[in-house]
Amino acid sequence: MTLSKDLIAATAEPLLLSILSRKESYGYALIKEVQGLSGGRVTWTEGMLYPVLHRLESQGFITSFWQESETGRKRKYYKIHPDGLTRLKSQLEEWDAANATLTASRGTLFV
Amino acid sequence: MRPSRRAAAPSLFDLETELRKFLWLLDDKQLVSRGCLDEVESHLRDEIDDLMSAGHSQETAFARACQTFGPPEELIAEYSKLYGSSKYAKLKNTASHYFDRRVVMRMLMGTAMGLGMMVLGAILGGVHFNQLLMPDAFLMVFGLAIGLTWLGTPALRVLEAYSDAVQGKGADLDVFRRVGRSFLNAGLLASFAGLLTSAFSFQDPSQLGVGIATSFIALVYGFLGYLTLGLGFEALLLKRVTATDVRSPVRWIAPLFLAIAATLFGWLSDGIPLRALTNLPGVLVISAGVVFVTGFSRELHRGHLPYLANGALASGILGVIFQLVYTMSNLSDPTQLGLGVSGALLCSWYAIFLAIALRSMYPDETLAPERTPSPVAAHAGLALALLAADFWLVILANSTH
Repeated sequence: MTLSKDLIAATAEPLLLSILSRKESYGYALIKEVQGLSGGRVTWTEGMLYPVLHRLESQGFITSFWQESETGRKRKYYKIHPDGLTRLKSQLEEWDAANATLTASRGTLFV
Repeated sequence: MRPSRRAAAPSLFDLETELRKFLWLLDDKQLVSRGCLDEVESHLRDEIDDLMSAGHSQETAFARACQTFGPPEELIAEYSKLYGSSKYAKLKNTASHYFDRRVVMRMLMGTAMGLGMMVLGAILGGVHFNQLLMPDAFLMVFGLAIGLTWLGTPALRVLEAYSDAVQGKGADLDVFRRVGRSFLNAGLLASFAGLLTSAFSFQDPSQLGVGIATSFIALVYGFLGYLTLGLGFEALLLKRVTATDVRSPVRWIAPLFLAIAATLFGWLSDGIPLRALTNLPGVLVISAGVVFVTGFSRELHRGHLPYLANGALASGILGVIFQLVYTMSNLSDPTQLGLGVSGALLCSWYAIFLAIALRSMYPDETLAPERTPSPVAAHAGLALALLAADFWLVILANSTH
Protein backbone atom coordinates (compact mmCIF):
# COMPACT_ATOMS: atom_id res chain seq x y z
CA MET A 1 0.00 0.00 0.00
CA THR A 2 1.34 3.42 -0.92
CA LEU A 3 0.19 6.69 0.60
CA SER A 4 -2.00 9.10 -1.35
CA LYS A 5 -0.38 12.13 -2.97
CA ASP A 6 -2.17 14.52 -0.57
CA LEU A 7 -0.99 12.66 2.52
CA ILE A 8 2.56 12.47 1.19
CA ALA A 9 2.53 16.23 0.65
CA ALA A 10 1.06 16.89 4.13
CA THR A 11 3.65 14.74 5.92
CA ALA A 12 6.63 16.04 3.96
CA GLU A 13 7.39 19.00 6.20
CA PRO A 14 7.37 17.23 9.61
CA LEU A 15 9.25 14.26 8.11
CA LEU A 16 11.98 16.49 6.70
CA LEU A 17 12.30 18.49 9.92
CA SER A 18 12.40 15.27 11.93
CA ILE A 19 15.20 13.72 9.81
CA LEU A 20 17.18 16.96 9.75
CA SER A 21 16.81 17.31 13.54
CA ARG A 22 18.97 14.19 13.82
CA LYS A 23 21.63 15.02 11.22
CA GLU A 24 22.35 17.31 8.29
CA SER A 25 21.59 15.76 4.92
CA TYR A 26 21.10 16.44 1.19
CA GLY A 27 18.21 15.89 -1.23
CA TYR A 28 19.07 12.49 -2.67
CA ALA A 29 19.92 11.03 0.76
CA LEU A 30 16.64 12.39 2.19
CA ILE A 31 14.60 10.62 -0.51
CA LYS A 32 16.43 7.36 0.18
CA GLU A 33 16.00 7.73 3.94
CA VAL A 34 12.23 8.30 3.68
CA GLN A 35 11.93 5.30 1.37
CA GLY A 36 13.76 3.18 3.95
CA LEU A 37 11.81 4.51 6.94
CA SER A 38 8.45 3.91 5.27
CA GLY A 39 9.37 0.50 3.89
CA GLY A 40 8.86 1.84 0.37
CA ARG A 41 5.34 3.18 1.01
CA VAL A 42 6.38 6.83 0.78
CA THR A 43 8.19 7.79 -2.40
CA TRP A 44 9.14 11.42 -2.85
CA THR A 45 9.91 12.90 -6.23
CA GLU A 46 12.47 15.64 -6.77
CA GLY A 47 9.67 17.91 -7.99
CA MET A 48 8.04 17.62 -4.58
CA LEU A 49 11.09 17.51 -2.30
CA TYR A 50 13.21 20.46 -3.45
CA PRO A 51 10.45 23.12 -3.41
CA VAL A 52 9.55 22.03 0.15
CA LEU A 53 13.21 22.24 1.23
CA HIS A 54 13.57 25.67 -0.37
CA ARG A 55 10.35 26.90 1.25
CA LEU A 56 11.48 25.69 4.70
CA GLU A 57 14.79 27.47 4.12
CA SER A 58 13.12 30.74 3.10
CA GLN A 59 10.93 30.49 6.23
CA GLY A 60 14.09 30.14 8.33
CA PHE A 61 13.36 26.64 9.66
CA ILE A 62 16.38 25.08 7.97
CA THR A 63 19.66 26.42 6.55
CA SER A 64 21.78 25.14 3.69
CA PHE A 65 25.42 25.06 2.71
CA TRP A 66 27.46 23.60 -0.15
CA GLN A 67 30.10 21.06 0.72
CA GLU A 68 32.33 18.69 -1.20
CA SER A 69 31.41 15.04 -0.81
CA GLU A 70 33.96 12.25 -0.41
CA THR A 71 33.92 11.84 -4.20
CA GLY A 72 34.85 15.50 -4.67
CA ARG A 73 31.40 16.46 -5.99
CA LYS A 74 29.71 19.50 -4.46
CA ARG A 75 26.42 18.83 -2.68
CA LYS A 76 23.92 21.14 -1.06
CA TYR A 77 23.41 20.08 2.55
CA TYR A 78 20.53 21.15 4.75
CA LYS A 79 20.52 21.43 8.52
CA ILE A 80 17.84 22.38 11.00
CA HIS A 81 17.65 25.82 12.64
CA PRO A 82 16.49 26.21 16.29
CA ASP A 83 13.24 27.73 14.90
CA GLY A 84 12.79 24.51 12.90
CA LEU A 85 12.98 22.44 16.08
CA THR A 86 10.19 24.53 17.62
CA ARG A 87 8.18 24.12 14.42
CA LEU A 88 8.76 20.34 14.46
CA LYS A 89 7.58 20.11 18.08
CA SER A 90 4.31 21.91 17.33
CA GLN A 91 3.74 19.86 14.15
CA LEU A 92 4.30 16.56 15.98
CA GLU A 93 1.78 17.67 18.60
CA GLU A 94 -0.74 18.42 15.82
CA TRP A 95 -0.14 15.03 14.21
CA ASP A 96 -0.46 13.29 17.60
CA ALA A 97 -3.78 15.07 18.19
CA ALA A 98 -5.04 14.12 14.70
CA ASN A 99 -3.89 10.52 15.19
CA ALA A 100 -5.54 10.27 18.64
CA THR A 101 -8.83 11.63 17.25
CA LEU A 102 -8.72 9.21 14.35
CA THR A 103 -7.97 6.25 16.64
CA ALA A 104 -10.80 7.21 18.99
CA SER A 105 -13.24 7.53 16.10
CA ARG A 106 -12.38 4.16 14.54
CA GLY A 107 -14.91 2.27 16.72
CA THR A 108 -17.80 4.27 15.35
CA LEU A 109 -16.56 3.99 11.76
CA PHE A 110 -16.68 0.13 11.77
CA VAL A 111 -13.28 -0.16 10.13
CA MET B 1 26.59 -17.59 -31.01
CA ARG B 2 26.70 -14.59 -33.34
CA PRO B 3 26.59 -11.35 -31.40
CA SER B 4 23.63 -9.14 -32.20
CA ARG B 5 24.16 -6.00 -34.31
CA ARG B 6 22.88 -3.86 -31.41
CA ALA B 7 25.49 -5.21 -28.98
CA ALA B 8 28.30 -4.86 -31.49
CA ALA B 9 27.56 -1.22 -32.33
CA PRO B 10 29.67 1.25 -30.31
CA SER B 11 27.61 3.19 -27.79
CA LEU B 12 27.02 6.79 -28.85
CA PHE B 13 25.63 7.72 -25.46
CA ASP B 14 27.47 10.54 -23.73
CA LEU B 15 26.34 11.17 -20.17
CA GLU B 16 27.67 14.73 -19.98
CA THR B 17 25.81 15.79 -23.15
CA GLU B 18 22.58 14.13 -22.04
CA LEU B 19 22.78 15.66 -18.59
CA ARG B 20 23.38 19.07 -20.14
CA LYS B 21 20.33 18.61 -22.40
CA PHE B 22 18.17 17.64 -19.42
CA LEU B 23 19.28 20.71 -17.46
CA TRP B 24 18.61 22.90 -20.52
CA LEU B 25 15.02 21.65 -20.38
CA LEU B 26 14.80 22.92 -16.82
CA ASP B 27 16.44 26.19 -17.80
CA ASP B 28 14.29 26.59 -20.91
CA LYS B 29 12.21 29.45 -19.57
CA GLN B 30 15.13 30.71 -17.51
CA LEU B 31 13.07 30.54 -14.35
CA VAL B 32 15.21 28.13 -12.39
CA SER B 33 18.29 29.67 -10.79
CA ARG B 34 21.89 28.46 -11.16
CA GLY B 35 21.84 27.14 -7.58
CA CYS B 36 18.70 25.06 -8.17
CA LEU B 37 20.16 23.63 -11.39
CA ASP B 38 23.40 22.69 -9.60
CA GLU B 39 21.35 20.94 -6.93
CA VAL B 40 19.35 18.98 -9.54
CA GLU B 41 22.55 18.00 -11.36
CA SER B 42 24.15 16.80 -8.13
CA HIS B 43 21.00 14.77 -7.37
CA LEU B 44 20.91 13.13 -10.81
CA ARG B 45 24.61 12.25 -10.65
CA ASP B 46 24.12 10.63 -7.21
CA GLU B 47 21.24 8.56 -8.53
CA ILE B 48 23.09 7.56 -11.71
CA ASP B 49 26.13 6.49 -9.65
CA ASP B 50 23.90 4.34 -7.40
CA LEU B 51 22.14 2.70 -10.36
CA MET B 52 25.45 2.01 -12.12
CA SER B 53 26.92 0.41 -9.01
CA ALA B 54 23.77 -1.78 -8.94
CA GLY B 55 24.80 -3.09 -12.38
CA HIS B 56 22.96 -0.82 -14.83
CA SER B 57 24.66 0.65 -17.88
CA GLN B 58 25.29 4.39 -17.94
CA GLU B 59 22.54 4.90 -20.51
CA THR B 60 19.93 2.89 -18.58
CA ALA B 61 20.94 4.56 -15.31
CA PHE B 62 20.44 7.99 -16.87
CA ALA B 63 17.06 7.02 -18.36
CA ARG B 64 15.84 5.65 -15.02
CA ALA B 65 17.09 8.67 -13.08
CA CYS B 66 15.18 10.98 -15.47
CA GLN B 67 12.09 8.83 -15.16
CA THR B 68 12.20 8.99 -11.34
CA PHE B 69 12.79 12.73 -11.53
CA GLY B 70 9.47 13.25 -13.31
CA PRO B 71 8.58 15.93 -15.83
CA PRO B 72 10.79 19.05 -15.49
CA GLU B 73 7.66 21.23 -15.84
CA GLU B 74 6.52 20.04 -12.41
CA LEU B 75 9.66 21.36 -10.71
CA ILE B 76 9.59 24.58 -12.75
CA ALA B 77 5.96 25.17 -11.71
CA GLU B 78 6.78 24.57 -8.02
CA TYR B 79 9.83 26.86 -8.07
CA SER B 80 7.81 29.55 -9.87
CA LYS B 81 5.20 29.39 -7.10
CA LEU B 82 7.94 29.72 -4.51
CA TYR B 83 10.22 32.32 -6.06
CA GLY B 84 7.96 34.07 -8.55
CA SER B 85 8.20 33.74 -12.29
CA SER B 86 10.05 36.93 -13.18
CA LYS B 87 13.61 37.26 -14.42
CA TYR B 88 14.26 39.38 -11.34
CA ALA B 89 13.26 36.47 -9.10
CA LYS B 90 15.69 34.24 -10.96
CA LEU B 91 18.47 36.81 -10.65
CA LYS B 92 17.78 37.22 -6.93
CA ASN B 93 17.78 33.48 -6.41
CA THR B 94 21.00 33.07 -8.40
CA ALA B 95 22.63 35.80 -6.33
CA SER B 96 21.64 34.00 -3.14
CA HIS B 97 23.46 30.95 -4.51
CA TYR B 98 26.71 32.85 -4.88
CA PHE B 99 26.40 35.08 -1.80
CA ASP B 100 25.21 34.06 1.63
CA ARG B 101 22.89 36.94 2.52
CA ARG B 102 23.76 36.81 6.23
CA VAL B 103 27.51 36.82 5.56
CA VAL B 104 27.21 39.73 3.12
CA MET B 105 25.05 41.64 5.62
CA ARG B 106 27.64 41.08 8.36
CA MET B 107 30.43 42.24 6.03
CA LEU B 108 28.55 45.38 5.06
CA MET B 109 27.48 46.07 8.64
CA GLY B 110 31.02 45.58 10.01
CA THR B 111 32.55 47.81 7.32
CA ALA B 112 29.86 50.50 7.61
CA MET B 113 30.03 50.65 11.42
CA GLY B 114 33.84 50.59 11.56
CA LEU B 115 34.35 53.11 8.75
CA GLY B 116 31.53 55.31 10.04
CA MET B 117 33.02 55.54 13.53
CA MET B 118 36.50 56.10 12.15
CA VAL B 119 35.46 58.91 9.80
CA LEU B 120 33.35 60.48 12.56
CA GLY B 121 36.31 60.34 14.95
CA ALA B 122 38.62 61.85 12.31
CA ILE B 123 36.19 64.69 11.53
CA LEU B 124 35.55 65.42 15.23
CA GLY B 125 39.32 65.48 15.67
CA GLY B 126 39.56 68.30 13.12
CA VAL B 127 40.50 66.39 9.94
CA HIS B 128 38.64 67.42 6.75
CA PHE B 129 36.89 64.57 4.96
CA ASN B 130 38.58 65.38 1.63
CA GLN B 131 41.99 65.03 3.32
CA LEU B 132 41.20 61.34 3.71
CA LEU B 133 40.52 60.75 0.01
CA MET B 134 43.61 60.21 -2.11
CA PRO B 135 43.07 57.93 -5.14
CA ASP B 136 46.77 57.67 -6.06
CA ALA B 137 47.72 56.52 -2.54
CA PHE B 138 44.79 54.07 -2.61
CA LEU B 139 45.93 52.57 -5.93
CA MET B 140 49.52 52.36 -4.75
CA VAL B 141 48.58 50.53 -1.51
CA PHE B 142 46.01 48.27 -3.20
CA GLY B 143 48.38 47.35 -6.05
CA LEU B 144 51.26 46.72 -3.66
CA ALA B 145 49.06 44.60 -1.39
CA ILE B 146 47.87 42.46 -4.33
CA GLY B 147 51.45 42.03 -5.55
CA LEU B 148 52.78 41.10 -2.10
CA THR B 149 49.97 38.59 -1.53
CA TRP B 150 50.47 37.08 -4.98
CA LEU B 151 54.18 36.57 -4.30
CA GLY B 152 53.42 34.04 -1.57
CA THR B 153 49.96 32.72 -2.46
CA PRO B 154 48.51 31.74 -5.87
CA ALA B 155 45.90 34.29 -6.98
CA LEU B 156 43.34 31.52 -7.52
CA ARG B 157 43.67 30.38 -3.91
CA VAL B 158 43.06 33.93 -2.69
CA LEU B 159 39.99 34.35 -4.93
CA GLU B 160 38.69 30.96 -3.85
CA ALA B 161 39.05 31.84 -0.16
CA TYR B 162 37.08 35.11 -0.55
CA SER B 163 34.49 33.40 -2.80
CA ASP B 164 34.03 30.63 -0.18
CA ALA B 165 33.75 33.22 2.58
CA VAL B 166 30.95 35.22 0.91
CA GLN B 167 29.10 31.99 0.17
CA GLY B 168 29.13 31.20 3.91
CA LYS B 169 31.43 28.20 3.53
CA GLY B 170 34.51 27.55 5.62
CA ALA B 171 37.55 29.18 3.98
CA ASP B 172 41.30 29.16 4.36
CA LEU B 173 41.94 31.59 7.26
CA ASP B 174 45.64 31.64 6.42
CA VAL B 175 44.84 33.48 3.17
CA PHE B 176 43.15 36.33 5.05
CA ARG B 177 46.12 36.56 7.43
CA ARG B 178 48.45 36.88 4.44
CA VAL B 179 46.24 39.50 2.79
CA GLY B 180 46.02 41.44 6.06
CA ARG B 181 49.81 41.38 6.46
CA SER B 182 50.26 42.38 2.80
CA PHE B 183 48.05 45.44 3.36
CA LEU B 184 50.04 46.44 6.45
CA ASN B 185 53.31 46.01 4.53
CA ALA B 186 51.93 47.83 1.48
CA GLY B 187 50.80 50.73 3.70
CA LEU B 188 54.28 50.95 5.22
CA LEU B 189 56.06 50.73 1.83
CA ALA B 190 53.80 53.33 0.22
CA SER B 191 54.16 55.55 3.27
CA PHE B 192 57.93 55.25 3.02
CA ALA B 193 57.70 56.18 -0.68
CA GLY B 194 55.75 59.32 0.30
CA LEU B 195 58.39 60.12 2.89
CA LEU B 196 61.14 59.80 0.26
CA THR B 197 59.22 62.13 -2.07
CA SER B 198 59.19 64.69 0.72
CA ALA B 199 62.86 64.24 1.49
CA PHE B 200 63.91 64.62 -2.18
CA SER B 201 61.80 67.73 -2.68
CA PHE B 202 62.85 69.51 0.46
CA GLN B 203 63.32 72.81 -1.39
CA ASP B 204 59.81 72.74 -2.86
CA PRO B 205 57.23 73.20 -0.06
CA SER B 206 54.28 72.15 -2.27
CA GLN B 207 55.90 68.80 -3.11
CA LEU B 208 56.91 68.35 0.51
CA GLY B 209 53.25 68.63 1.55
CA VAL B 210 52.10 66.18 -1.14
CA GLY B 211 54.72 63.62 -0.10
CA ILE B 212 53.83 63.82 3.57
CA ALA B 213 50.08 63.64 2.87
CA THR B 214 50.70 60.53 0.73
CA SER B 215 52.80 59.08 3.52
CA PHE B 216 49.98 59.59 6.06
CA ILE B 217 47.09 58.45 3.91
CA ALA B 218 48.96 55.39 2.57
CA LEU B 219 49.29 54.21 6.16
CA VAL B 220 45.56 54.84 6.67
CA TYR B 221 44.65 52.76 3.59
CA GLY B 222 47.06 49.99 4.56
CA PHE B 223 45.56 49.70 8.04
CA LEU B 224 42.00 49.93 6.68
CA GLY B 225 42.73 47.11 4.19
CA TYR B 226 44.13 45.07 7.09
CA LEU B 227 41.05 45.76 9.25
CA THR B 228 38.51 44.81 6.55
CA LEU B 229 40.00 42.29 4.10
CA GLY B 230 42.32 40.67 6.65
CA LEU B 231 41.13 40.89 10.24
CA GLY B 232 37.45 41.33 9.33
CA PHE B 233 37.32 38.18 7.20
CA GLU B 234 39.23 36.22 9.86
CA ALA B 235 36.63 37.31 12.43
CA LEU B 236 33.84 36.52 9.96
CA LEU B 237 34.89 32.88 9.78
CA LEU B 238 36.30 32.35 13.24
CA LYS B 239 34.28 29.56 14.77
CA ARG B 240 33.74 28.86 18.42
CA VAL B 241 36.28 26.29 19.56
CA THR B 242 34.45 25.04 22.63
CA ALA B 243 31.34 26.14 24.46
CA THR B 244 33.44 26.80 27.57
CA ASP B 245 35.25 29.59 25.72
CA VAL B 246 32.67 32.08 26.90
CA ARG B 247 33.49 33.62 30.22
CA SER B 248 31.15 35.82 32.18
CA PRO B 249 31.98 39.55 31.77
CA VAL B 250 31.67 39.89 35.56
CA ARG B 251 34.98 38.05 35.90
CA TRP B 252 36.97 40.57 33.89
CA ILE B 253 35.18 43.82 34.74
CA ALA B 254 36.77 44.01 38.23
CA PRO B 255 40.43 43.55 37.13
CA LEU B 256 39.90 45.94 34.20
CA PHE B 257 38.42 48.55 36.52
CA LEU B 258 41.39 48.09 38.90
CA ALA B 259 43.88 48.59 36.03
CA ILE B 260 42.13 51.77 34.81
CA ALA B 261 41.80 53.12 38.35
CA ALA B 262 45.51 52.52 39.07
CA THR B 263 46.55 54.35 35.88
CA LEU B 264 44.21 57.26 36.53
CA PHE B 265 45.49 57.54 40.11
CA GLY B 266 49.07 57.74 38.79
CA TRP B 267 48.17 60.44 36.28
CA LEU B 268 46.02 62.52 38.57
CA SER B 269 48.58 62.38 41.38
CA ASP B 270 51.10 63.83 38.87
CA GLY B 271 48.81 66.86 38.62
CA ILE B 272 47.47 66.20 35.10
CA PRO B 273 43.82 67.35 34.97
CA LEU B 274 41.26 64.68 34.04
CA ARG B 275 40.04 66.88 31.16
CA ALA B 276 43.46 66.59 29.49
CA LEU B 277 43.20 62.79 29.57
CA THR B 278 39.95 62.62 27.61
CA ASN B 279 40.07 62.41 23.85
CA LEU B 280 36.66 61.63 22.35
CA PRO B 281 37.80 61.49 18.67
CA GLY B 282 40.58 59.10 19.73
CA VAL B 283 38.14 56.90 21.63
CA LEU B 284 35.84 56.81 18.59
CA VAL B 285 38.63 55.87 16.17
CA ILE B 286 40.03 53.16 18.47
CA SER B 287 36.57 51.76 19.16
CA ALA B 288 36.12 51.55 15.37
CA GLY B 289 38.87 48.91 15.23
CA VAL B 290 37.01 46.80 17.78
CA VAL B 291 33.71 47.46 15.99
CA PHE B 292 35.17 46.19 12.69
CA VAL B 293 35.83 42.82 14.31
CA THR B 294 32.57 42.62 16.29
CA GLY B 295 30.53 43.80 13.27
CA PHE B 296 31.96 41.08 11.04
CA SER B 297 31.60 38.31 13.63
CA ARG B 298 28.66 35.95 13.70
CA GLU B 299 29.00 35.48 17.46
CA LEU B 300 31.62 36.71 19.87
CA HIS B 301 33.65 34.38 22.03
CA ARG B 302 37.01 34.43 23.73
CA GLY B 303 38.76 33.31 20.55
CA HIS B 304 38.07 36.79 19.19
CA LEU B 305 40.03 38.56 21.93
CA PRO B 306 43.42 38.62 20.12
CA TYR B 307 41.62 39.88 17.00
CA LEU B 308 39.93 42.63 18.99
CA ALA B 309 43.35 43.54 20.43
CA ASN B 310 44.84 43.74 16.92
CA GLY B 311 41.88 45.84 15.79
CA ALA B 312 42.44 48.25 18.68
CA LEU B 313 46.17 48.57 17.88
CA ALA B 314 45.62 49.08 14.15
CA SER B 315 42.94 51.72 14.69
CA GLY B 316 45.10 53.33 17.39
CA ILE B 317 47.68 54.02 14.67
CA LEU B 318 44.92 55.57 12.55
CA GLY B 319 43.96 57.76 15.52
CA VAL B 320 47.57 58.94 15.81
CA ILE B 321 47.66 59.71 12.06
CA PHE B 322 44.45 61.75 12.26
CA GLN B 323 45.83 63.73 15.20
CA LEU B 324 49.05 64.42 13.30
CA VAL B 325 47.19 65.41 10.11
CA TYR B 326 45.25 67.91 12.20
CA THR B 327 48.44 69.14 13.91
CA MET B 328 50.26 69.63 10.62
CA SER B 329 47.32 71.58 9.21
CA ASN B 330 47.68 74.01 12.14
CA LEU B 331 51.46 74.27 12.51
CA SER B 332 51.36 78.05 12.65
CA ASP B 333 49.57 77.92 16.01
CA PRO B 334 51.95 76.68 18.77
CA THR B 335 49.07 75.90 21.18
CA GLN B 336 47.49 73.58 18.60
CA LEU B 337 50.86 71.87 18.07
CA GLY B 338 51.05 70.92 21.75
CA LEU B 339 47.44 69.78 21.83
CA GLY B 340 47.89 67.72 18.66
CA VAL B 341 51.01 65.94 19.90
CA SER B 342 49.47 65.21 23.31
CA GLY B 343 46.31 63.98 21.53
CA ALA B 344 48.37 61.63 19.38
CA LEU B 345 50.24 60.29 22.43
CA LEU B 346 46.97 59.85 24.32
CA CYS B 347 45.48 58.01 21.35
CA SER B 348 48.38 55.56 21.20
CA TRP B 349 48.14 55.07 24.98
CA TYR B 350 44.42 54.25 24.74
CA ALA B 351 45.08 51.74 21.95
CA ILE B 352 48.00 50.04 23.71
CA PHE B 353 46.10 49.85 27.02
CA LEU B 354 43.02 48.37 25.33
CA ALA B 355 45.10 45.88 23.32
CA ILE B 356 47.02 44.73 26.41
CA ALA B 357 43.78 44.41 28.41
CA LEU B 358 42.10 42.41 25.64
CA ARG B 359 45.13 40.12 25.23
CA SER B 360 45.30 39.62 29.01
CA MET B 361 41.71 38.33 29.02
CA TYR B 362 42.75 35.60 26.60
CA PRO B 363 43.83 32.47 28.44
CA ASP B 364 47.29 31.30 27.35
CA GLU B 365 46.37 27.62 27.42
CA THR B 366 43.94 28.08 24.53
CA LEU B 367 46.43 30.06 22.42
CA ALA B 368 46.74 27.46 19.66
CA PRO B 369 49.51 28.18 17.11
CA GLU B 370 47.05 28.52 14.21
CA ARG B 371 45.15 31.20 16.11
CA THR B 372 48.20 33.30 16.83
CA PRO B 373 47.27 36.73 15.52
CA SER B 374 49.24 38.67 12.91
CA PRO B 375 52.24 40.62 14.22
CA VAL B 376 50.36 43.90 14.08
CA ALA B 377 52.32 45.34 17.00
CA ALA B 378 55.54 45.27 14.94
CA HIS B 379 53.76 47.04 12.08
CA ALA B 380 52.34 49.57 14.50
CA GLY B 381 55.87 50.30 15.75
CA LEU B 382 57.15 50.81 12.18
CA ALA B 383 54.17 53.02 11.34
CA LEU B 384 54.90 55.16 14.40
CA ALA B 385 58.55 55.45 13.32
CA LEU B 386 57.42 56.63 9.85
CA LEU B 387 55.03 59.13 11.41
CA ALA B 388 57.80 60.44 13.64
CA ALA B 389 60.02 60.82 10.53
CA ASP B 390 57.22 62.73 8.75
CA PHE B 391 56.79 64.97 11.73
CA TRP B 392 60.50 65.59 11.96
CA LEU B 393 60.62 66.51 8.25
CA VAL B 394 57.84 69.06 8.67
CA ILE B 395 59.48 70.62 11.73
CA LEU B 396 62.81 70.73 9.88
CA ALA B 397 61.21 72.29 6.79
CA ASN B 398 59.51 74.93 8.94
CA SER B 399 62.72 75.83 10.71
CA THR B 400 64.59 76.00 7.36
CA HIS B 401 62.11 78.40 5.75
